[in-house]
Amino acid sequence: MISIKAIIVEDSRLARNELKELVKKHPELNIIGEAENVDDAYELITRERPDMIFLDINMPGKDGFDLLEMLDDVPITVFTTAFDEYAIKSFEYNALDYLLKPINQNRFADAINKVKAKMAAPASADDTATQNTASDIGLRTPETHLTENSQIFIKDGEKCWLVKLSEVQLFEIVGNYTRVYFRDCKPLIYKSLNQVEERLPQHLFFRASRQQIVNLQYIKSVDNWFNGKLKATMLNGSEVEISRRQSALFKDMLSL
Amino acid sequence: MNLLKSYKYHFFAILGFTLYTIASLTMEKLSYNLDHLAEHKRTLIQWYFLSEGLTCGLLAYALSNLILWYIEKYVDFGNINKRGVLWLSLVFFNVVIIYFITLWPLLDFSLHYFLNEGIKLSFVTRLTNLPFFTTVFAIWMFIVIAIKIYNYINQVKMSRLELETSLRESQLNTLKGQINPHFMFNSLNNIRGLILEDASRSRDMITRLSEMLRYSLTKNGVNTIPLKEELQTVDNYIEISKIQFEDRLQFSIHVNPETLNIAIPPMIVQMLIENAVKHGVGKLKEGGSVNLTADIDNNFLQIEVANSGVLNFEEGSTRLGLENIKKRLGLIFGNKATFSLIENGNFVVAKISIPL
Repeated sequence: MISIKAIIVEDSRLARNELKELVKKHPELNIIGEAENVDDAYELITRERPDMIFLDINMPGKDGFDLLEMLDDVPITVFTTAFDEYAIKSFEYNALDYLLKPINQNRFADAINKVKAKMAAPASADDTATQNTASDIGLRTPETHLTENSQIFIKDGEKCWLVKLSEVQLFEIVGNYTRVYFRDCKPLIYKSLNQVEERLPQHLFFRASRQQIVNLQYIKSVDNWFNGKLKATMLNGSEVEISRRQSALFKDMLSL
Repeated sequence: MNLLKSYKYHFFAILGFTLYTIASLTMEKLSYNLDHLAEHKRTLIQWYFLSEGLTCGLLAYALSNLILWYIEKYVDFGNINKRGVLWLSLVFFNVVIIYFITLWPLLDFSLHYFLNEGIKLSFVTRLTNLPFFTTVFAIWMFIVIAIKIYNYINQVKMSRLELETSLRESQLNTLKGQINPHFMFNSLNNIRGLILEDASRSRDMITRLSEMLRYSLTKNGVNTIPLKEELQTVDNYIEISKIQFEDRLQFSIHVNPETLNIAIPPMIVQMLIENAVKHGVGKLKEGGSVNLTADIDNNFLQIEVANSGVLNFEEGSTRLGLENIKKRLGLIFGNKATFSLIENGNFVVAKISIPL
């Protein structure tokens, strides 16, 4: 039987107890920690690397959204909230599930089933096995690179997204910030391109120039450009110029 | 409405005064005297009578403005008393006397101009004209006061309508703010958790939550309630909040027993407490305290709610709630009640002062 490692983030002690009472009917769920505010939760999640979190939106100081923004690799998240319809509607594509307090036991079981389905989804390929073992023996410390299945949380103005790295086509510098291109969206994140680059899996992303990082899987073709530079055409038709120095590197990389 | 500044009024006043004097004075004199006068004097005397009527009318109009000025400046139709009536009569008769004094030289001048002779009436004969002059002014004043009272009644109707709509509006707003769904559902969820560890306290909490619901459902149409009833709801709210915040919420209350029966608008203290818990203590990781005091000072009921934290005006809902409190206090007490919200050290202090 699979075991789902979960962390509860909730400021009210009684609400945490209430949630644990619901969890009792799901022996596959293993609550490995509890946090009553965002800062404690951040520490706990980066240390324990849970498969999922139950996250209250409304908490003193920072709220649930702040926590997601702080995390580099967002675990599967189920929001628990009393009445925050507005906040929940800001999510695109139902990336996150949510439970309304007091929580209905059947609705809770549905949410857990969805979590299981999500956990099973990337397991289709053989890399999952290695990934799981890596996570199990604690190799995935915060300093290591993210994987293509890592989720990043993006909040731009009123809208929120939870995006898998494999879905991102391009990162582009915008002043001190970075624009993320995925699907038809291009929100801003408040990190520099260099900060982003440090955490990206190298086999998947390539620094094309000072301005851009491309996802290799989204490149359709590469042509010679002038001055020894290369020009990449993306699947969606847009073009990315690769700087001279990086062009040499790119050729090296692909010739291997 | 200010008649003194209305062109329409002045037009009709001049028309009214001159038509009245010409109709009641000149016409009569003309019809009576024509038969008894020598032919050669007829035209001239007709002109004199006409100028006499016009002079009487125009002078009356000019002086009536004095009374009108007094009425518009000093007479409050919402608050007429004996003293006011006495003063108005005094002004009225003084103006009539001024009229009486200034009219004769003017008529004398007019007579000299048309007929080259002076007025040869004795003082007593002149006095017999006084009732006629008084009547002219009395008729005028009757019309003016009728207009003024009509306007006043309209104004009262309007402002009452306005008051009713804004009261209803603010009641609706409080209703919205009152059953805060976030609070409701969180409380129900917490009680569900509490049942597992303390059944009797859970039962108490359900009672308190019911009382709060009942209070918010029934007290909406009421304009004022005694402070002690409001404090009961505050107590319920705090006790229920304590199962959410536990050690993170400290509450202290100091109420002068003399204030308990003072009538206040419902939900105002409750809204201040809710704001203090939600936006003050609720925003602090380590929690904080809320202190409520009620006292009498200089014939004013002073209610103060202080909470740990800092003022944060970014949140629209807080501002709306505070505007609502201000508006309701203003509607009920005019500008005699005050509301202030200040930052004092590590505390945010909301203060209401209501006249007794």
